Amino acid sequence: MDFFSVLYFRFKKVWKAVRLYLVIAGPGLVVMIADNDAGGITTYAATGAKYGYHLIWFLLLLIPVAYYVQEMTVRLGAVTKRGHAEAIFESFGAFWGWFSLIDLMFVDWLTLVTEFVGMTAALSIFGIPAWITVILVVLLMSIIVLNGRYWTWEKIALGFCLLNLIYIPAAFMVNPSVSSILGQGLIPNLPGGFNNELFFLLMANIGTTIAPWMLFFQQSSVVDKGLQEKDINMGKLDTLIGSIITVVVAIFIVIVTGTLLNGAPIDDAATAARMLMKTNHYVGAFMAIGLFDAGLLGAICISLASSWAFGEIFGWAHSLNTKVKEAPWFYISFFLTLATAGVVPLIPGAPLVLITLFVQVVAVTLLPAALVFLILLLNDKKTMGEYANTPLQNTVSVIIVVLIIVLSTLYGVSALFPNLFQ
Amino acid sequence: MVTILDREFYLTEIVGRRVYLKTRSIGKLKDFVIQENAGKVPEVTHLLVHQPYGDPLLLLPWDKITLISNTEIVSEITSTEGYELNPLDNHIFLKDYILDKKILDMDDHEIEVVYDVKLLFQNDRLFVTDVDFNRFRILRRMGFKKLANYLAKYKEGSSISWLYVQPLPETIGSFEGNVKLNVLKENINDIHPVDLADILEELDGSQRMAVFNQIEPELASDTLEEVEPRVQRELIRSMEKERAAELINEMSPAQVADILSALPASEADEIIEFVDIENKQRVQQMIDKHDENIMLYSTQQIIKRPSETIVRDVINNYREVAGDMDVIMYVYVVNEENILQGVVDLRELIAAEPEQTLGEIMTDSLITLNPDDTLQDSVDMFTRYSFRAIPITDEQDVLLGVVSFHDIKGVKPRLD
Amino acid sequence: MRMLKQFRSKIREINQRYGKPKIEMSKGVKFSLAVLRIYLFVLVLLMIYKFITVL
Repeated sequence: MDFFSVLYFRFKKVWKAVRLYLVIAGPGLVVMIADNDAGGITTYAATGAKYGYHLIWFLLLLIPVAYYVQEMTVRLGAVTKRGHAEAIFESFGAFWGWFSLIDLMFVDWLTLVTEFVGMTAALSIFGIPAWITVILVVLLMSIIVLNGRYWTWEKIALGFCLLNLIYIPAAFMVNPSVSSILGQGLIPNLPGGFNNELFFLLMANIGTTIAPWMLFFQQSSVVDKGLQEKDINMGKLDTLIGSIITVVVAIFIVIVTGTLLNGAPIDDAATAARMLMKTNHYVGAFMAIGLFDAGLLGAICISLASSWAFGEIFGWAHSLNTKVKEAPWFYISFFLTLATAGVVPLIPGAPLVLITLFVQVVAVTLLPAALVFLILLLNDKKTMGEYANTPLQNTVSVIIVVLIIVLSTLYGVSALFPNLFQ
Repeated sequence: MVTILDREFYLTEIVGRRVYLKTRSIGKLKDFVIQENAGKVPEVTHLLVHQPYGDPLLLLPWDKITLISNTEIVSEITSTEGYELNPLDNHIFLKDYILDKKILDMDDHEIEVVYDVKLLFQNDRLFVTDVDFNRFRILRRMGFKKLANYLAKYKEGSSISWLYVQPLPETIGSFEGNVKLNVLKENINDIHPVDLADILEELDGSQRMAVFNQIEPELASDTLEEVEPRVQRELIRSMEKERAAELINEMSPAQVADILSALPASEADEIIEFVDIENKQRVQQMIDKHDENIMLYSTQQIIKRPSETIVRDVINNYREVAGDMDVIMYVYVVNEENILQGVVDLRELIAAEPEQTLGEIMTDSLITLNPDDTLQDSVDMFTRYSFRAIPITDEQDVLLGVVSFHDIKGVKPRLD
Repeated sequence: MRMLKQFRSKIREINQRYGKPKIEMSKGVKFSLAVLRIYLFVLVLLMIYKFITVL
């Protein structure tokens, strides 16, 4: 073979891999980008406003954290062809199964409420009343899901993922100083020394990176998409690219608020967007659109995560590929979760801040359990065969999981007892 | 029953063609599933159809296909139910697993890349007959079909029959595995007709035809002589008449007669019409009258030179002269009355001094045949002396013709 | 009423189907599950404590 043939051969091989990736890409990208939901955007905006560029290095550390945890769900889904809820029921028995399922339903519903809060707040910046937003979102999501195909659902979700990148042009519009981003952001440092406030924010960042619904969601969507063992490598790549994108988006949010709102007290992303509107109209609008999109994407994925989990256990046809008639309960549960959560922000005087805190606390009861189950399942050689965790993977993921459990527990406990770490 | 417009086509031409169930368009052809037949050419068993909007891939069995035209593929089934591809099944996908893979020779030397694969329709079945590694096929795949075909003519020996492809490895997949040949890189362009004949005899009817149709006329003609009569008969029968004529005219009259005598008279008559006018009569005589007079098997296309010719002159234009001749390993030395005086072997000619005359180096004690001798006599003589050609002379030693061993090789005398 | 009955029988069926854990109960698994129980127990206690003190 001469030079030309070798070149041709290599090119074709790479091109084929790229095309295969484009077919398999989806679950990993969607779950990771949806991870930047309304709550996530708020956390990043607050991080940027409080500490400027100083915590960018910490966000970069979240790439492997997110990747190593979520990658396990790809393998588990592709090998067992079962969702996470079903896997827990089957492997650990009904007790742990019900515990996870009910807990998941609870956390998902609460998170869904926060997504609706984010969405209504975002659109209220443009003068749209909250009840219109809620009705529009519920309608839109019902149409997307009723469409009845995993494929279309995934493509639409990917479209919203693309819209999530709106923070990148927004960051360029505020003309940040690249040298100070690199100088301050990439060198690990703890601005103002280690104190309670900083610790709280770091924990919040980790907490938004790994949420319980993500484990359930990605595994079920891998199953619904029909990935096989041979697709695992591509699915892992998908997850890796997704985790990089999600952190990149987070960094750009930090850059936006770090440049324009440095030092301002930010409680939620909508406030940030409103304040940005005053300094730069377009960036503020982008921020608001991004927040709405993040809330919507989060809502789509979270409500699906619950529906999938329930469908798996109750034996309702639980795939987006089945028609409404064949899987009425799947769609009814989807719609009910959605509608009840959408109503909460409309209630005047609803304790929204309390709900946000409550999400963190309840999540702490589910996340450690789900992560422990995940590692145990991935070590079950009987079902996983050659795709079980290797010693290296175990070391990495155990360290990450222990870290997440400790930090998120502290985070949840500090939400319960705000004065504990003072 | 499949109706097909082009009997042979390339894989990359047909992939992407629209697929219909009766009249309903369901998607595009994505790939073929092939089945390897031990030591033979693979056969297409299923068509893999890609449906839009994330609907599952369909696997349509070959026998459910009713039409393959230049623009569409039609299947007789009406519902896609039950035809979804089960991703767990082990299939060999022609495009996915073979195309753009490396071609290795017997010693694992990398030869080229599989730029295309040739398919041939024969007896209602679709065979994979050739691996194409002609680089100009890439142009075809990019849409420059005419340019590719034009350029491809200038690069010969760039495809190889699937017969020389070793059974595909177990591990072959989208990214793994190579196409390995059981010939060496050096021999890829000259496969011996005898070997080819042996392989052909092993194949079943339509497979054999599929392979045979891909062989170049000259090699095909030599191969046709080598195969056993039963196979000869079958090949000629199912061949298109034009191709049969082309092959027949590459042969000597003796071989033509030999092959035609294996056919029923009516078919033989049909084919004999294609034979060159100057040979036709001889062939006719051999078959009809069972005439085995040696003169019928002889040729006049020989190199004749007077004895005073200088060796250098012969050698210098040997190439041009020999081009038209049937017998080229001997120079026959004759005088003005065409009386044979001696024979010079090509080897002697080359070994001689350039200034010597043919008369000085020729052999003058000659073994010759008489014009009354029969085929059997010549066969006997060839066995005894192992010459490559024997001249025929009358009582006055006048050279009447030469029988070449190549021309009568394999022809069995019926008379004693 | 009928729906409720159906629902209960469904739950019972699920409990039966997943009655026995399929995963091999090795020491590691048993230990992890035990720690998890203690962890959740403590967490619930904390929440109850918080609930009482708030009231």
